[in-house]
Amino acid sequence: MSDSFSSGASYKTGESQLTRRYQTDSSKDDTQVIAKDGDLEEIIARTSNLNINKTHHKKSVSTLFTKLINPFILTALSAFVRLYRIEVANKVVWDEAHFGKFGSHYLKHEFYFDVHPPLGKLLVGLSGYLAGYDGSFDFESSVDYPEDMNYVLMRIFNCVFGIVCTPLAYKTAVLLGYNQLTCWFISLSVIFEMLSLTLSKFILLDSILLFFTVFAYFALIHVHNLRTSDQLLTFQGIKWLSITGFAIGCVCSTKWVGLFMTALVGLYTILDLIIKFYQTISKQLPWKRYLLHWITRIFTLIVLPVTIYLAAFKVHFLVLSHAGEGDSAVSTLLQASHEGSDIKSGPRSVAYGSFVTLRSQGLSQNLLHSHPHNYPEGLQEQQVTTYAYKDENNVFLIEFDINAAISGKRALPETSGNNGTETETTIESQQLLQNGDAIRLFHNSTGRYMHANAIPAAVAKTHFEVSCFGTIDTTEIKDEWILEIQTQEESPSQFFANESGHELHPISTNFRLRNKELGCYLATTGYAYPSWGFSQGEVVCKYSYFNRDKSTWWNVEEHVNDKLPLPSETYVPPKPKFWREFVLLNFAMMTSNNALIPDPDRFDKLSSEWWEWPILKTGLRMCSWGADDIKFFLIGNPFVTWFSSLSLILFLFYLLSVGFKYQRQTVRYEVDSWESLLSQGILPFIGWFLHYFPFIIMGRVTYLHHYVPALYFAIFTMGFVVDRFATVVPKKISYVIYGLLYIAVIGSFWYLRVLAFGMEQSSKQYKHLKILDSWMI
Amino acid sequence: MSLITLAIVIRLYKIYLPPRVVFDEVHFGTFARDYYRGEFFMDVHPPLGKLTYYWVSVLFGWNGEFTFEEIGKQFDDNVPYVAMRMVSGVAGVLTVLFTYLTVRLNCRSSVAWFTAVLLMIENSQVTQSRLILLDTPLICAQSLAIYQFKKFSQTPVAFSGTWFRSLLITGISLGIAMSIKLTGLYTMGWVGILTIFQLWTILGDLNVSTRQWIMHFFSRVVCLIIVPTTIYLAAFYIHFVALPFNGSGSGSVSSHFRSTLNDTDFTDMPVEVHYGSTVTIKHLNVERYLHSHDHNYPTGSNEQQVTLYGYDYDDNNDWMIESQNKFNERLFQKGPVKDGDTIRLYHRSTGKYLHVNDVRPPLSEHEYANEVSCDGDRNLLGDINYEFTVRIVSKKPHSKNDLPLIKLRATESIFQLIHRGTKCVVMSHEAKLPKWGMGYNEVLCVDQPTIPNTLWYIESNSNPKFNETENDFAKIEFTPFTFWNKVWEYHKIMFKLNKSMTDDHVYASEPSTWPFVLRGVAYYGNESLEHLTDENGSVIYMLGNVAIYYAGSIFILISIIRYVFYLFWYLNPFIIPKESKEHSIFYTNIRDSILGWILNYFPAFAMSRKLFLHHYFPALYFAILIIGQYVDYQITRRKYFGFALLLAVLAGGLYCYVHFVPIIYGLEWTLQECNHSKWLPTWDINCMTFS
Repeated sequence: MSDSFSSGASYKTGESQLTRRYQTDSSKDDTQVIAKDGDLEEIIARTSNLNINKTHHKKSVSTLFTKLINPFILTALSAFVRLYRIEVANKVVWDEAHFGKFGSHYLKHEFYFDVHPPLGKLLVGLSGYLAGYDGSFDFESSVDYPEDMNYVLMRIFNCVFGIVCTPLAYKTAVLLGYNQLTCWFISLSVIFEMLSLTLSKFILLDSILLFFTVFAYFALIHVHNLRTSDQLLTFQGIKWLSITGFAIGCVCSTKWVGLFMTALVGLYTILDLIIKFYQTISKQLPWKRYLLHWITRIFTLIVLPVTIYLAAFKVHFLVLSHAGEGDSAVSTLLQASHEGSDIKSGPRSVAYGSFVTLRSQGLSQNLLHSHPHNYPEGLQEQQVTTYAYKDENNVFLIEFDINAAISGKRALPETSGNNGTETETTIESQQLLQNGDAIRLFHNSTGRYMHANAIPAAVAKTHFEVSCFGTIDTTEIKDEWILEIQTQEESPSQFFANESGHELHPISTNFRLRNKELGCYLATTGYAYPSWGFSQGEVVCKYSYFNRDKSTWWNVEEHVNDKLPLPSETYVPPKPKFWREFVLLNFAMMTSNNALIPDPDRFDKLSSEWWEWPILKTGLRMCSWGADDIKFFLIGNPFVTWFSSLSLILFLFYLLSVGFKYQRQTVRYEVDSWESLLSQGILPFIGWFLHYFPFIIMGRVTYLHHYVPALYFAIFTMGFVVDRFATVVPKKISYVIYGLLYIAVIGSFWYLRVLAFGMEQSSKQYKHLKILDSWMI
Repeated sequence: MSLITLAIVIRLYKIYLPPRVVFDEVHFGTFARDYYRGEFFMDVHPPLGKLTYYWVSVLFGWNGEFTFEEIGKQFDDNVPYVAMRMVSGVAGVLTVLFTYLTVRLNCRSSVAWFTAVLLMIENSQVTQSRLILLDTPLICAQSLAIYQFKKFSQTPVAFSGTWFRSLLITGISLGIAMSIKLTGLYTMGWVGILTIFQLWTILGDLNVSTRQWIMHFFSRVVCLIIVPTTIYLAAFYIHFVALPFNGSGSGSVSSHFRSTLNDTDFTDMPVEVHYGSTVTIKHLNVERYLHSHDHNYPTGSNEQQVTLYGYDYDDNNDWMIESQNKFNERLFQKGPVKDGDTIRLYHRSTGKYLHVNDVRPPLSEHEYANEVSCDGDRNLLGDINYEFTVRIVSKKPHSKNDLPLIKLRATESIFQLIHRGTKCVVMSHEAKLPKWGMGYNEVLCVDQPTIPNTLWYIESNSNPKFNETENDFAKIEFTPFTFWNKVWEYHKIMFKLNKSMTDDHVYASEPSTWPFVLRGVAYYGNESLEHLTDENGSVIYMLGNVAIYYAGSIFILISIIRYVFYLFWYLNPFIIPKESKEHSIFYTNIRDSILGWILNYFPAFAMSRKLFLHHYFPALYFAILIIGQYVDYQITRRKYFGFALLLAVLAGGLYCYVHFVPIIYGLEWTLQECNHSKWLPTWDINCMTFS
């Protein structure tokens, strides 16, 4: 009971660690330890002089194989199956429509928005640049590539990431201490794993993601090996820690799935640091050294990846310097910094009678919006939302307060038409807004005033509802909002330096709007309305006593007023702040990611659910399925997938049996065997779990290719199970087993190869390939 | 003994007040009545608690007349409501005793006394244990399970008489707990985790032979899994036997299940569905009837609503199957409806036809979803927007041959209705319409839908032509429906029901607010009722005892922090831990209690249904145990500080109890006192009742 921590027993005595090392096969051992003990060295030297030489000779040949020849053969094999017929479909396949397009945006420098971090798409952009592509093709799904476009090079560039996974997998297996047979088994499984194989033939992020994941795992195993020989604070150690950090930085900058890999590295590091802490307090490790361990971890595994992630975004912002389709969802300042943005053109001070659009500065920074649909609850008045696109319904008119309205002062000229009292329409649109003014916001296209009701809002029940109500002639106190200017951003240009701090300027003034009657502030909550509100952002009236609460801050984005003079020079907007834009962009990515929720009533033949992946229930048609189309069907290698899933269960049983034996003390678990169990079995299993489990609880729509990284770890678990099994059966039988496994892996690929290489004939010709009825070939 | 006396006084004081239906007594009273009448009903809770109330009521001579319709209804003389409430009351008293015994196992008797008193005077549990509700019996069974399991764990000699007895009682009380409310499973989980841990430890004891270990293993499996499961199933067995007739719940079970109820009428009906038949159409997944009524949609087409309705025997569930031609008498000669036929559905009571509009349905506003409504009249001419193709998808397991795949056969064929005008498929789901739709399920028509929610079958079927020819037609027949089938189906519906309890309730609360007593639940108030002249204003407002709740939360927090540090220290593989006995006992105790608290509390966060303060009780029980265990440890280490702590918590608890006595027992109070007692602005006690 006291030793439920199974590494414990052997750590307790440093001695046993040493003796154990002497007992192990000398050919495997490092000479360092031996050098410490002269006697033993002598004995070994005397007794097995010839022997050592022999093994040494053998070793150098085998090293040549393991270091160069084997990886080369495997890479060549992998390259062949991945590059073969890569050019055959000369049209946009599957998500090339997204990622190719995003690559084009980089080449055209046009700003866009997407749920994934930028690194992978930057690389796609780079591949386009190398291929001499100018970004003019707009990657419509299933459209033929133009003649002059070198899409093959772009695909090959992407494919290289997929190919390189193979030697890395082989090297990882070697590092884990497997024998060659197992290493080959793992590598072959990685080569002929058909999900990643098929995906790497196209311009997608999946092979880039898998590559960084594979690379990070490779580096982690290096770190593990260095840790077991206590070399983490040497140059080598820091080098490999940094490489690990670099890799997880890259994988996170490609897709957020990388966070699962980061979690694996994180858990490993925490375990390591806890053990080292125990060593420290047991006086086996000096505090200074322990502290040093912490510092290296912080720098290599936290600071470095975060820097890479930030750098990817910095490059993203720098490259996308022109206005583009993503502009409507980002802050006014960022838009204004884009070349070709038209929001800078309006008059510099807002007056009564101005037409404005208002942008929130909260976490969901969209434009204030209203449309002719009512809330289904509460007073059932017209909805007020925030909207990520620019349209007519975002436009509000600044209207005078009620007192002015009663005395006949109106900002909107057309009002008089109906009642015929034209004298009432005194137009004083030259009057500028001042800080503290009471104004009314008139929604231009529906002709209603925006106001707050003292009833709970639709989603965030603790705040008040905001709605549009009434007609142009309504005079309700609830319609009045007090303008409270918070800050004025300064323009870098001298010409605009003297703008009044009490006036409302588009782009540069940040302000709040307080409801005169209720005293609450117009705010966003970051939640989205249900489908009746078209999933647009919620707007509420919020009691906020903290005036830096950004969810209550707004700014004017577009400003139109014919009566006011335009500035004589083009406005030079203030510079956007990188940190702010970075945080907001990431939040927006998160929100749109969470908004990708499937409708359970609607059948979606592309998406699949988590439980379908390990049993390979469904595949995915990657393109249109006509008789003349070259068709690709995304499906895993059945043998690899099924056997790896089975291995995961077998592994758990193995762990259980080891646990039982350990607890019954019928097996001695030494440091060495524990460490190899950890790195060969437990780490990949946890890796699989971390890459798989989140998809179970995730609400968003999931696809088959989400299983690719998890499958990579499942393959390593499979290797472990096979390896452990092969050690208990006689050698000859184990050769047979390995032979059969190789044949099964390659054979099942060969049988289904046409699914990945592209089917040219009508889909009916391939009916025999349906191993399961649920495959829609 | 003194403790029991005290508990009796506190828990049973004026239990007959108020002589009216309070809060959820509405439900449990109604269920007792259903048992009395043998009418089948559905509920989210397993039957044991409800059965107990029924048995007690019968034992004390109830005639089953009184209907527990609404809160505040006055009991008539025949209702033995005091006896029924005594079930809760006695369970409450026993809980106090079990608490004392549990704490006494490893703490000093003064602390055991103190802990039991805390539980005894905890306002919310006192309130709960005076009413016909399930929570107090649940807590009672839970506390017995905890006591016996702890006792079992401490029994020095394995396989001895006491060892087996404790183990068995643990299993029995777990079985009782989970047969009252499924939340009893959390305590089962608690026992389970600790048992696995125990077995692991025993495995490491080389003095225990492998054979003995297997004995350990199997005796636990038998007592802690098989025994509770048997009790649970037995409760269901009695439940089904006790309810032989159709009732409020029979609409929500499948036809096959219904066929086992004695007075099911559709088993005499023709099995073949012919043109001109009047049928009820049931949704396979949701098990509710396709329904329409004389109310219109406020959105979309503004035509008559089509919904799903759970209650059978409603004329608005009746549809007549017609061909695509204008209605005339020749229809009845047309013969059976076959797979692929085009039909129209005539809603008899409102005289309109089922119709799909290319406008968005009220809830699911997707482009591919269309609204389903009723429109037109008997003179409707051919119009593809009123026509549906019947596509038979599969058959129910009780059908004897493949006929239901060819012809539409009542209760056997499972089919889809494909709208001819827009090619969409009529479906429904769990989503409920708001108030204007009476909270019935939305029915819509979706282009390329997922299959499970588009399936329907026909339950009752009648056709005038079969009545004329008397018995010369094939009738609906069923294969036997076993007990296991019933249990399985009942549970599916229980979970569905539980999941769908999402309607806003005024007094529902978020789990995160429970430990902080942010709000109570108004159980009863006689302000709005027709006053008897001599009746004073009285309110029952279930509110947590502030001192005890907060003390519990604080001690849990401290205990968790301490335990994490302790565990970290304990796991050090380089040092063999040396610890004192008190230390060891204390940490084992709080480990158990923390685990129990976590297991009983955190699942609530994952629940989508509406929750109430009383769902915190099982977790609170562990919180109170922690208070005791922590104070005991402090007394061991620092005597005066420990006793001071004990007195402080006790005094606080007593003060909060005494102060709120009127709203626990529904006694007299003054408006002013009541208003002053609203310590938090969120406590919405209705003080106006006292004016």
